[in-house]
Amino acid sequence: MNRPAPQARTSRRRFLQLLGVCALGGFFAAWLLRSRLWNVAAKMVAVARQRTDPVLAPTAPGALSAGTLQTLEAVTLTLVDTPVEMSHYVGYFQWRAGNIAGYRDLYEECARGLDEAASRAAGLSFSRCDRDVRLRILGRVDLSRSGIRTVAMNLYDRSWIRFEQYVVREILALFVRTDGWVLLGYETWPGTPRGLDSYTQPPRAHRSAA
Amino acid sequence: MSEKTAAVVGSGIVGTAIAHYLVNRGYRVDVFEKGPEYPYPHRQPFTERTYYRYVNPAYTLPPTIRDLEYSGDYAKNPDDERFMRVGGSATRWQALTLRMLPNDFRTRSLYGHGNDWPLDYADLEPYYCAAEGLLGVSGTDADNPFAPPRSRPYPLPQFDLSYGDGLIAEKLRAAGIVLHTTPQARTRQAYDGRPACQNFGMCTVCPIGARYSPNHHLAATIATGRCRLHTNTSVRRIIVDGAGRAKSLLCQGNDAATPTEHAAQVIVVACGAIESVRLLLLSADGPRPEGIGNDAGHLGKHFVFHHTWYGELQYRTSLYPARFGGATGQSCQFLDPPGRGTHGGVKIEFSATTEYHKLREIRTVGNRAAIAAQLRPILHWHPLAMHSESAPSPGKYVSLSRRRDRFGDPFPYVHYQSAEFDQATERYARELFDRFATITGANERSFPRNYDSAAHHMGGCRMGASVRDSVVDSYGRVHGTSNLFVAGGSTFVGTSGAVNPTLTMVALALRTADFIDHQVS
Repeated sequence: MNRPAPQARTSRRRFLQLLGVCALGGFFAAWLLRSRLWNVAAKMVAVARQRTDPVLAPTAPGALSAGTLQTLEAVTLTLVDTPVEMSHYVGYFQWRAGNIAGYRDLYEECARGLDEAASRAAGLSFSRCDRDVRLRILGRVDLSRSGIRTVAMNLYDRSWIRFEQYVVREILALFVRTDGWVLLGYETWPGTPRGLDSYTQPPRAHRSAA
Repeated sequence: MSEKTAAVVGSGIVGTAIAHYLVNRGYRVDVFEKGPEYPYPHRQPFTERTYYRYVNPAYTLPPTIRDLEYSGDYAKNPDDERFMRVGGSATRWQALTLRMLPNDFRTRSLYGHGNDWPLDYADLEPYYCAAEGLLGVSGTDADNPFAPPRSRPYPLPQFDLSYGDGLIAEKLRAAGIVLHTTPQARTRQAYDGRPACQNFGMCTVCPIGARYSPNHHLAATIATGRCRLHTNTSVRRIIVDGAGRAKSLLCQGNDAATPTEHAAQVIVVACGAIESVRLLLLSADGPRPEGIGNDAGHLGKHFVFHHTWYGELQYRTSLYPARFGGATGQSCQFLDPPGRGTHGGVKIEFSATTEYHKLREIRTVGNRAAIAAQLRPILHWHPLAMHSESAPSPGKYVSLSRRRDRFGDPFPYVHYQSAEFDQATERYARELFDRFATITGANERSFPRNYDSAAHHMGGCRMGASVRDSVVDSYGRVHGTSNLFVAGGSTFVGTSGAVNPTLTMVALALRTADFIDHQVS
């Protein structure tokens, strides 16, 4: 007579073990959800996120130095590679430095870092370097970096992640909403008084194409 | 003769319209606003938002003063759709001011869904005209065969279709569909102390007051010296005597230690659908243990949103979006379609406004050509919103939460679960969306998974003929009281059909104010 296959008996036992583990896990999860431990766990997650988020230190707002502004202008032009209405960006940097905690120190720190890199590469400040050198320095900017890599990098190179998040991304966001439209052939961008005569037609630069 | 006095809870578009009306007829009015000041014209908020990409916390209330609990299948937090500050939610709105259709007032009789209103279009028509005059509406019905009848022309000429809307309109016309211009509370020409629109484009916060904000009339009303505005002040209770006369409001500064009582001859509650329900519930007393106006249990029920799906279409041709901030092209052809009753009507919004437009992110930097290539798809996408009617159902209501504010008063609780009628409306809206995409030759289309309320909160204190079926009468007077009124979207019987509700809210508010002036005092 054939004995039952040992594998089948083991599978059944393993199945029951698995079922037991799942039941225990479910019971524990339900208990955790209802208990204060849940709050503790949530707090731990929050602390971990804070540690891996490139949040700005809440330092006092204030005026930017002329050198820092020049560096930020140079960063803007290097990133977007197209003529822009620079006063708009300068106004943005000055306003955020002067009104939002952390921005002044962030801008000054980023400018110092870029100037040091430029000095090592070409013996000049960032704003006085030629475009190739500036592009090489900004070559580390990676806007497609995965979330996990960003979190990891945030642990050992937080200042660069902050630079990407609060300087590079904000410049680009501003550009997309303003000079980006001009790059696409619009006469001006939303947010400026454009009058009511031209919106019923394509932008002037596109009229022959339309 | 003693001076006539009124107290208005809420400084939004409805509260302001009533305060403005009553002050001009000799009343002394106190307006209570829970939220903070909001500069007008909105130059500063506009600059912060547009130029500095900054949301100023000074314009919002802390969560110890405002919050709400919600459940159901609505994917967003309804609290984020309320702007509690001086001027209310109409400090930032699209300002689309369409009238309801005559049939929208009789959906139960005609189609079997919702309920009939206790007034009809003819009752409201003169007040629609007055509301259009107050807000300075620009528009025409010449290109809209589906517009309801009107006794007076629009105060201002229309905004023409944008280039992209014009191209779309041509294609639709060939298929028998009308895309027409949109009436809006935006000045095509200078009007009533407001400058003509200059097309700044970020219209939800207009820097010059061309897009109507209640703050315009609120400032004028305060300037008369007969209106006082109490900001950062929460109204916690309405005190009603045994004879049903509202005596006073129990108010408390948001930072104050103790409340004070403010007496008035007439009290108007106009603080949005959710807060109006909450205030009447909180005001429960001995003779009214379930809240004021809640004898038959209707308070908080019949609460509805518009269900809106913001889709997008992509075309080979460039439509040059975002060249005008307001909305231009809409279609009212499907507001009252065959089959209404099994599903709701739909208003089609085809406008490529700046605000709706999906901006692309830049991933590559330092190369002009690569950046332009990343941005160029913007020119080919066009938003298509399906703005739909809904109907009250048992799964949609406002009540009180277990969570409390800093005064110890329960926050509102909103439960919103869409019903079979809404699912049928979604299927109909999807069919229309696909039909529009096919007719206009779209290459790609995207229809969102979730509906959006468009920040249109209606019902909760619905109007009706008697206390058996409603909270207030057609003038907004709370059943069982003589001088307590509710005004605004909360008194709606259902949605305002599928059209934007604000013009109807203001028209009803003016009718209420007229009634107060002629009948109550």
